[in-house]
Amino acid sequence: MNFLRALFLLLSLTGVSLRAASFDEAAAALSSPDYPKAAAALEKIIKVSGPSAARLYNLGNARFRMGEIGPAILAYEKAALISPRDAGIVANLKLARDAAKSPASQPDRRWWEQPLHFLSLHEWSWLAAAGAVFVAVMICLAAFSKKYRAKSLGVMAAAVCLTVFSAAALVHRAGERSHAVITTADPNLRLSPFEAADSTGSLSSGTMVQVEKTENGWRYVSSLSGGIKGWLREKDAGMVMAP
Amino acid sequence: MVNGTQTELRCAAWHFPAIISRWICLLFFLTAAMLRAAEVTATLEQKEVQAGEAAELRLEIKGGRAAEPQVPQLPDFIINQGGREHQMSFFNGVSSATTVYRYAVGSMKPGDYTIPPFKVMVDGREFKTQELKLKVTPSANQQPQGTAPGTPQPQSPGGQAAGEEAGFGFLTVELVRGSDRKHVWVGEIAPVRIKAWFPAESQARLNGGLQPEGSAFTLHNLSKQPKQEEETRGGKRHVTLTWFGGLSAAKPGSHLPDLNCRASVAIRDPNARQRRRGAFGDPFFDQVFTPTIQKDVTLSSKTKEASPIEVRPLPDEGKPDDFTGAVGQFQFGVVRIPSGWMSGEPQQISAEVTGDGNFALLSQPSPSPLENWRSYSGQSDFSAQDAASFAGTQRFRFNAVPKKPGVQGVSLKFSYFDPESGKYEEVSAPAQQVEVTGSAPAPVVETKAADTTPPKNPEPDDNLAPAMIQDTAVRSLLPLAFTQAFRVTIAGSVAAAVAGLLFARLYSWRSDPARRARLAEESAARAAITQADAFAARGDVPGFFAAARRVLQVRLAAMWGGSAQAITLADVADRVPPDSPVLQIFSEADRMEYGRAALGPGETLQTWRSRLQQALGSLPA
Repeated sequence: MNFLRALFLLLSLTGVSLRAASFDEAAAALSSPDYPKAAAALEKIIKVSGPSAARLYNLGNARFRMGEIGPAILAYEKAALISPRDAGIVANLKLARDAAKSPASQPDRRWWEQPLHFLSLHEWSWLAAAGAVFVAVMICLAAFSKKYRAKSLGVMAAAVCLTVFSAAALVHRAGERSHAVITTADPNLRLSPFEAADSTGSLSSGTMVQVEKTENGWRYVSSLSGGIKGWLREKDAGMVMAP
Repeated sequence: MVNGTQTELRCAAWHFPAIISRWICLLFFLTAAMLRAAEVTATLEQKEVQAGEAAELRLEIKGGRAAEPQVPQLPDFIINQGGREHQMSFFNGVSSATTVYRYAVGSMKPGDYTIPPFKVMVDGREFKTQELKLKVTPSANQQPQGTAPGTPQPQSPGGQAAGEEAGFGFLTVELVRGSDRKHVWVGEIAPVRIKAWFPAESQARLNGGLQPEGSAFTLHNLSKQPKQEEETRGGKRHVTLTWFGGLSAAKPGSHLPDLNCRASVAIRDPNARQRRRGAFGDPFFDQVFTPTIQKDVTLSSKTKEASPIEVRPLPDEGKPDDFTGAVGQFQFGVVRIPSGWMSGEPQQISAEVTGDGNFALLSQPSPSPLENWRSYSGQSDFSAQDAASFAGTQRFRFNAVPKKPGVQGVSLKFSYFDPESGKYEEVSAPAQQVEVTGSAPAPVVETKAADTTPPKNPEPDDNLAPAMIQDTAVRSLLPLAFTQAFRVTIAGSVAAAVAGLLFARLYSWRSDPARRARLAEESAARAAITQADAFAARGDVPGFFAAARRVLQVRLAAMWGGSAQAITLADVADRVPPDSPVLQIFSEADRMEYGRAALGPGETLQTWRSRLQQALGSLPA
């Protein structure tokens, strides 16, 4: 048993050091600058050991400097999903959107939507879950103790408000699960999900779209600014929440 | 007398349903107009101009309610607003609102320029136009001060506007400022008072707003509603409309401020008045019966009395490197710089600049010393305090990255040209001490040999924030909310809360003192009945009646409230009918208790047992 534990520990440490080494190599390639090499290395790390804000952000930087604005925006969007308040990610995402030359790569949020985007969906989820558990515990405690009930009423009301607000944020932003970013240059949208179908228009690389359904390697998408809709090949757009 | 509206609404005769239906239709069309998708396009009239000349850029916004467009900035390139038109039309039930902004664009330096997109907020959404390309060729006459092609020459050789010539009206433009300075500088926005003069006895209607002609001046922030007054000029009475705005000179030289305004003016025919002199012998009747002449005229500020404005070029001497064309008087307001930084990590700096001048050309302040910092273009918003003089506050928010660790002083600075002193000024905010932790970013690559060392070019100048050097925690891109674990947690919490409430309710019900007392009384009643039966079986008469009274006391106490033992014969006699078996049992029990008497003739305990059953049956359970 001790041997197995030691082996597991060794393998874990080796894995951590390998990942660190790979990230450093990618960062080195990025600063050398060898952007294709950096992008390839970062994509490999993400595929093997998962995404992190730093990996996705650096991948976005590499893609941006390779002139691939669509994939750069996709990488920055993913990084912002993990770390929405990181100043570097926010600044570079804005630069990339500006560079996309698309009039509606991301529509502006209304004033009341701003607070709902202060936290990431992950953070809202944790807040909602923790709030729900806390409220449940408080209800149980308050139910059996009148003395405790009187004292905890204000705290419970605040916890309920926080939980409801978190849940509202999650419900409002649930549509983001089907957000995708156009990654190829001006792909044509088709009336039906096959190549020979008539075109309904094209979208600029970097444009954010909403995926409504997926069928045989095609996605039915609509631009977030409204207007254009049609079928797009899966390879022309990357899902923001896909690994 | 002067009607400032362009459109006349002719109302039909009073017909209430028709009026209501028209209003509903109008409301419907307006709603439809607001809901229509907006479209923003920018076009250039020419693709090529000579240096010192201007091309017209047309920015068209169709649909929606648009805010003022954000004019992009380009080094050595001038973009000046020339005017604005707004149209709203209904056709076949479809409405469309169109706003057109006109800009004079050009440069003093030849070259190929790419005009960045204009940003416009329409109905809360940001729209951007496409980039435009303009080629500026070297000037043919080498006289940038000369009149540019396309600049309209004065309409009248005598310098007299057509409108004034016919006596229909004219415009005047006066500089309004505290100092007695007679000249302006290129790029300076000079506050002006613009007046439209109409003869006192005329009727006039404006057919549009004020428009600058030519490329010498541009008009900014014109007040929306002109002020109407009566004034005397040259011994004649006039009605005047007064606007306030800012006039900005685009090129040096001596230029007449050339503005015009279309209007429909109706005046009394002076010739007819002369012909009719003395017809009635009364000035009132002469005036009433004098015919009027109505004419669509273009009022112009190019009159005989108009004096040119001297426009001086900005001097090259002492021009700071970071000067971007801001002319006016500015100073720093509130500046916020975080006190704690980490080397290589960006943070936000905010700064307010207040003052008076062309804020549009004011560049973002830069951190100083420049070699220790790298800043990125951020956002800014302007709040005007005075629409005519362009006083206000511009707030900048931008990210900066420290390049050097350690405790150091940092300040913000920007430069502008002061038109009063005629000199460039550099303004610095008070220096603040900041602490930058971490080490200076170093190249990670260790090269194998000197001859194969790649050129170090870590950060191309594309304003991209630098790469992250250290990896962060690995996280799933799928938020917790979209996982099964989240659903289980929420469902479990809700179930726990509901179960808690149910258990609490059950606990509360079970521990209710009234309920517990009732149960105890019922138990006592049952025990007393059993006891009475036992006494009856044994033939114990006093014991039977004592037990029977206890049963009834418990039942009556449950009905009337209070203690069972406190219920006496007197209480029962007051509250139950005289022939009730309850009263009989109470009376007999009292008699047995105090008198120890025997049962009456013909009575047995079985008889009284039956009466007890009747008594219990007459009471509710």
